[in-house]
Amino acid sequence: MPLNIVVLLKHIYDENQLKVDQSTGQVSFQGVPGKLSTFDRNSLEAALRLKQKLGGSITTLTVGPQESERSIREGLAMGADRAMLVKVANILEMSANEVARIIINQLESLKPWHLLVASEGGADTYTSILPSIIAQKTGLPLLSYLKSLDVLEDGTIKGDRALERGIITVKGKLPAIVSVVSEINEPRIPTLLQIMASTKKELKTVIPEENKQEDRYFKILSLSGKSRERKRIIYEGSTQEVVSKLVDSLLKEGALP
Amino acid sequence: MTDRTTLLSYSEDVDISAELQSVANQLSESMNLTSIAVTINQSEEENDRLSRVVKDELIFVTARDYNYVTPELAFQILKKIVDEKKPRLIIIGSTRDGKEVAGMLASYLDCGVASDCSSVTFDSNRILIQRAAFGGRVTASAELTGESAVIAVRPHVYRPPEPKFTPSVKRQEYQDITLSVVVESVARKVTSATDLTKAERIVSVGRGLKRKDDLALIQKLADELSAAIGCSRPLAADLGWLPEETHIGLTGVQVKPKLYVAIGISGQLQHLAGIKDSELIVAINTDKSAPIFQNCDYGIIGDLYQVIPELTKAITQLKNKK
Repeated sequence: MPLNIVVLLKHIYDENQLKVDQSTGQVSFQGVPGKLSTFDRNSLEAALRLKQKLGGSITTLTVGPQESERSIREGLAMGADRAMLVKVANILEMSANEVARIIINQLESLKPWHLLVASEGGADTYTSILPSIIAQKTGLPLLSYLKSLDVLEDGTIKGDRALERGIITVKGKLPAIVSVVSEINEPRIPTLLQIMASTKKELKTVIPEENKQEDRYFKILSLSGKSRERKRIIYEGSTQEVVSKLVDSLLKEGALP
Repeated sequence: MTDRTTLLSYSEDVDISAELQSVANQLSESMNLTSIAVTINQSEEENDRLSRVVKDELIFVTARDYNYVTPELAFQILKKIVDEKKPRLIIIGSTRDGKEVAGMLASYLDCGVASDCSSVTFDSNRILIQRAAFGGRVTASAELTGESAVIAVRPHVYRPPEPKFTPSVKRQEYQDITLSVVVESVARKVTSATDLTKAERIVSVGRGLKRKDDLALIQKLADELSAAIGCSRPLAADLGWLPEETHIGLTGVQVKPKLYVAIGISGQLQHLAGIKDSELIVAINTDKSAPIFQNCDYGIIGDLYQVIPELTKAITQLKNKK
């Protein structure tokens, strides 16, 4: 059976390029470039592989600012067929319930779809809460933290959940929601040709219907980027020499048994 | 004001439930709440471990016909308990399953939720939490307001409290709960006894290691240093060379040893998040530009296959001299 798959993509601040105000220790996002949330590449890759096997189409769905377009284009270059952006100003200020409601509204307009694919978490906040809220509100089965995933001809979805205490093999019926861990695959890197072709693919931008300010029960008070200063004494040279220097240093520090 | 006068805590892992009581005891006191802990399908022996650390009430649930408690099953049961107890605050162990339960409860109650919290306090009618963000580069502080809230607390951050309570015990049974996700098989991991969060010294290895057999090299050094062995995410999650509980980082365990030796680990943010509280960090890596060198106290630029045997030898000699 051909599958209509929706993949959630998030555009985030690049965590490797955050700036920290040295006097306050607070993180500043000013001028920090954005990127496609790392783990979302794995969810899109998982969707692409299912499409290769069963046919169908892939739509990516993003809630975020206009700048998300850059990440969305990457998704289209990787092989998604079309994309939808729900424009909101500051997703970091929104509650998980609020984002879930926006997504569920759009999912309604994307019907009929069979599978919603999310990642193990956003590389920025890593709350991992969204899929479970969408599942609870829609009543659809959620197969989370999958390290393998397969859809059978009869519309059964099956996968191995990678948990702290082991591997749990689960199954459910489509339509369903899954979240995948980054170990599930190695995401493809689009070719130059694919990147160029992606600009011709459809990107629909919508504004959430009711942009009313919901009760926000969760509010970020501060983002501290303070880190411990390290000595950063680096030894380079012949193996014997550097090892002996290191051992001397560790002795002085009283770090050896 | 509100009729919400209870605090509910749950984890699928009894040891984590015991840790949660540390938070539950503090908050139930400062918020003036009755503390209730729930377990589902645990053995008598495991339930016993909670019997004296929970302040007010224990609910031991038996759900027939399920040998594995999925997040969906836990949610369906907790939902009923929530309807009855009307908690002001729900505390869940922030495991992968736990985060799913937390999200479902927050959706059901339409309340604020925070996962992976490393600190939870109560001040002027606000619940304050701290959690890591941006790959561990950032500590986010946030407040949760509203009638109720769900908070998932990171495992192994709090220690179980002293056993000194005699809570009332209730037993409940559930059956015929319809689930949309069915468990086909369960392959439980054999967990080792080492607790990296308590280790004084840790020797940790990453992708720089070429073969699983070469772990012997690392083991020798660890033995000489009386250190525990840890690793970066790929070695546990991708390659399976070391057990998952030795995976150090944002999505693994967070450690605070006196000495942390990172061997062949490039030092991605997610890994650094797990080692930032180490007193002394030593890095050994061939790649001069690896981020670990920006985040260590002492570093050696060199091939681990040459450096580690030499280092092991030097430490052995040193010990023999004493």
